[in-house]
Amino acid sequence: MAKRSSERPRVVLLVLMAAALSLLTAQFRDFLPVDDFQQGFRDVISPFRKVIDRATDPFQTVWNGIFDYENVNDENERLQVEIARMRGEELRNEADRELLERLLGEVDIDYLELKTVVARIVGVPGGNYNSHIVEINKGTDNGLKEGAGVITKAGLVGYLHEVDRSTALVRLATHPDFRVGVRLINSQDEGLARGNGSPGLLILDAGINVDTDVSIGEVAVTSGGRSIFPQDIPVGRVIDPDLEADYARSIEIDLSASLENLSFLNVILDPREN
Amino acid sequence: MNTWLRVLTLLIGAAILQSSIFTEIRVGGTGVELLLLISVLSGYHGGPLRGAYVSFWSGLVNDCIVASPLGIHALIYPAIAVAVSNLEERFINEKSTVRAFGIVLAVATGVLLTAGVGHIFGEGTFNTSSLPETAIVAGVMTTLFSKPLSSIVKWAVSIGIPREVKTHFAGGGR
Repeated sequence: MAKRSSERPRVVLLVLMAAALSLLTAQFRDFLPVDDFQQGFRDVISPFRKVIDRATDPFQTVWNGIFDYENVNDENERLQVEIARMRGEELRNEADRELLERLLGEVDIDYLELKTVVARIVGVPGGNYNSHIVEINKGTDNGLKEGAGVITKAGLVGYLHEVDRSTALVRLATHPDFRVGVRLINSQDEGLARGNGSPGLLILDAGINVDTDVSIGEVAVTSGGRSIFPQDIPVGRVIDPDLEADYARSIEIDLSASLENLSFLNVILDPREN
Repeated sequence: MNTWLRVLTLLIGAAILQSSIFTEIRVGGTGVELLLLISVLSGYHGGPLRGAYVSFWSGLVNDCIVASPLGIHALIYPAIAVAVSNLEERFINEKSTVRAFGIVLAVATGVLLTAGVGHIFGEGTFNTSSLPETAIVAGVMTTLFSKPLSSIVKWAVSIGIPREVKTHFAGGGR
């Protein structure tokens, strides 16, 4: 056992906790040096991280081969079910399918012409604190800015939460703090959707009237306006329109982009340029 | 090399490892809490005061690398280190399995408390339904790395602690 100092640990502990609370307060009040300190620290260790990452790449591959094997199998099963479901839909309702394709075709026109930077996913932050966040290999050196929208050709993915010089963290659409304005294609009603921590799902629970006619499979796109996302980026399809709601409606949207299997992303440059 | 230079080296090394190879070492999405482990071990080897200081900086470093609000981890880690230090006397003569269980418990508690504080500050980053499972798995995974890290943390934080301490260690078989 280490010899105890005559000083009182409780007092020191209280002082340290007060210091931590002061830092938290400064952070939540957007006191810039706190943000700069964090970014600076990440920038300083970034080259060393890359060296360690390269050196341990074979080990990481072996580890993922062992512990992610089950996930790959699960994903294969999920895709097979999805293919079967899509085939069934195709046979059952050809007319609806044509309508959906036409609508998707319409919304594709705008968002594929956006000016974007292609980035590769390099991993997730360490530890367990930040779920629903991925790290990409582009940063301020590539013209990225905090808050920029992130998409794939399949649709909405998230936005840039933190941007360092050579890397950035993307907050995925499933993150509980994610919010996006969406428009339902058929009714043209607009509302606010949010992530709720469930994989592949957004909850649209603000702005849509209880009596609005929303059908399963209806396409939702971004509504634009003052949002960081330009309008008409595909968000997903309604899987539960919550038709039995009395007051507040909670519509479930299945995201069109598969967030579990991302490799490359497109970060939207300044929306005003688009 | 004085204590704080050793601690600085330890924390920067741990930060690099935590944000590189340890981002990939995951089981079911749950990862190792290397900097929390350093806090636990610094309380164990360095006593409550030194443990509190080291774990405060350890928490700040963790806040930087996981991009959480600065102070979230630094608020919890010193408390964990002081608690471990106070409980250390009871575990000193126990078997290594009991001490390992203590580390699992300390890490799991750290994960839960961090999630709780994050929630209070409006950070909904944890899936609350799987949080207990995440805490336990993180505790077990992190404990697997405690043996090699224990020697390094002891090297970093025990310098200057009086010699009589060693005679006490000898009795404990640690």
